[in-house]
Amino acid sequence: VCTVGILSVVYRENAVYRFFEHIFIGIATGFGAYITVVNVLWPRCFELMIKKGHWYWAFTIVAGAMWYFIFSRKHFWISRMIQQTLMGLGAGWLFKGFASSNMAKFFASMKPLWGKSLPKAVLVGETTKIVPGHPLSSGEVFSHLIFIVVLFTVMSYFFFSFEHKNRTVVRTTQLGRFFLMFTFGAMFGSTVMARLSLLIGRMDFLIHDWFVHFRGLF
Amino acid sequence: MTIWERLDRIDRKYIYTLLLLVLAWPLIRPLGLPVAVTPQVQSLYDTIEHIPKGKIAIVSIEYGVGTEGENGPQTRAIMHHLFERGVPFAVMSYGADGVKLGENCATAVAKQLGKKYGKDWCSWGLQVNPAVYLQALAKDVPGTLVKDARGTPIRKVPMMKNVRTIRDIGIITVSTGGWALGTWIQFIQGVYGTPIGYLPTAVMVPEGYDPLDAGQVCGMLPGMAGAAAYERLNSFPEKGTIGTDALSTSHILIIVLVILGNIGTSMTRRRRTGGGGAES
Repeated sequence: VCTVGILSVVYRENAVYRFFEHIFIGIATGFGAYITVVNVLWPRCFELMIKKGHWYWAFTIVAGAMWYFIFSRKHFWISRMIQQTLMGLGAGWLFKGFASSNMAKFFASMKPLWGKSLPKAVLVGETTKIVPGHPLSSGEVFSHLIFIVVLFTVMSYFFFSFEHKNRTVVRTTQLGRFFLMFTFGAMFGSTVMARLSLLIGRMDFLIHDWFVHFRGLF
Repeated sequence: MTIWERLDRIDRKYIYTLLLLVLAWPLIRPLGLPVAVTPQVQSLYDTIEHIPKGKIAIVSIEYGVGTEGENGPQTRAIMHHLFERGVPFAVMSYGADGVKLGENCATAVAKQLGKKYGKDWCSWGLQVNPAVYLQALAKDVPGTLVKDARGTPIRKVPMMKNVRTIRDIGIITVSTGGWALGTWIQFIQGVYGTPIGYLPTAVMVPEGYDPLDAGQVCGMLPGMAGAAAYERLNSFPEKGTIGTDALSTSHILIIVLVILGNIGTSMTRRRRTGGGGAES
């Protein structure tokens, strides 16, 4: 009934849809608060503090309470202290994660056009093994060539340090724009597919899990 | 109003009704359309096939009810394979609804295959602050988790007895409708090299090819089609396979509607300009 009520918005905005929307938001908020207390706050903070005598966990309450000073005109500087501390921590983690996240992509964009492919590091059990490169096939060379052309033309499109007046630069950026359009087209197609998949999920529920209870009536 | 103008202005109610009929038909009577297994799906399957004995898997559920229709079949297919291979897995999430959805999926598949909580799977429940959590988890799994979602001390959960660090994890699968993969790559795969399987919704698929090409993810299930391909590898057709039939018929309808709409627009424009080209 909730599913049909929510889907009724397809016809037009109506009171039934609004009613079920509010129910959904209420349940989601309540469940979120409940599970945060049961799964996180109680076992990792309050239980340790109250039952096991780890009194120093009380400092987390002090740190958390510092956020609320943002509402005080006189003492708002207290909230800044905790904000700046967490911002510093966040920036440090981001900096640390940047290398491990992006260096692999950077190296993967170096694709040879002749000779052998680049060696790869592969995890085998507990150790990392280096797999040597293999001679490139004509298909791989073609694929790498497309990759490099797309990479440079798209990068040239986003190069704004000088005005694109030179004919070669203009043509290259135009080509880059075309490739970007292909990507956006693919993404839009994927979005349509995703939205339909979600509808299929609900339809599947209605047909196979819900309607099955009423089969005996017909 | 001419037929071309009508084609250009089909009421959305008719389109929605037609779409519902086209979607419902394969769901009631599956068509059994062929499903292609792409290299990225095969690669994820092979990685799970080769997980060394004694290691467990993490099934990270980073989706909510909004994308359950798409991420659900993917997650079920992966869980099915892990159960069949005898690789115990832990379900966890950074979102409250993700915990429940993951546990529901695992419970349903475990019931089908006669698997037990604690021995074959367990739930780590809700986790917060991914950056801090993952760095701590990598070095000390039981110390970071403390208890499972049911309140049992993690060291007393049978499948967790020999799990100490991230080295005891054979694979991590990330089912998501957003970009939850980033933190796993930053703090786990990029540092310890633990294989990651990516289970995105179709919207996120184009962005998944970057980490796939860079070797940061060992395989990917692109949307519902990916779930269907994995079910084929499992030899256990389920919701993904049936859903893909409906997906194919709905895509055909959309392509036909796009063509009709474009013909309608072009012909209407042509008539307005007296058989000439575009309007000036």
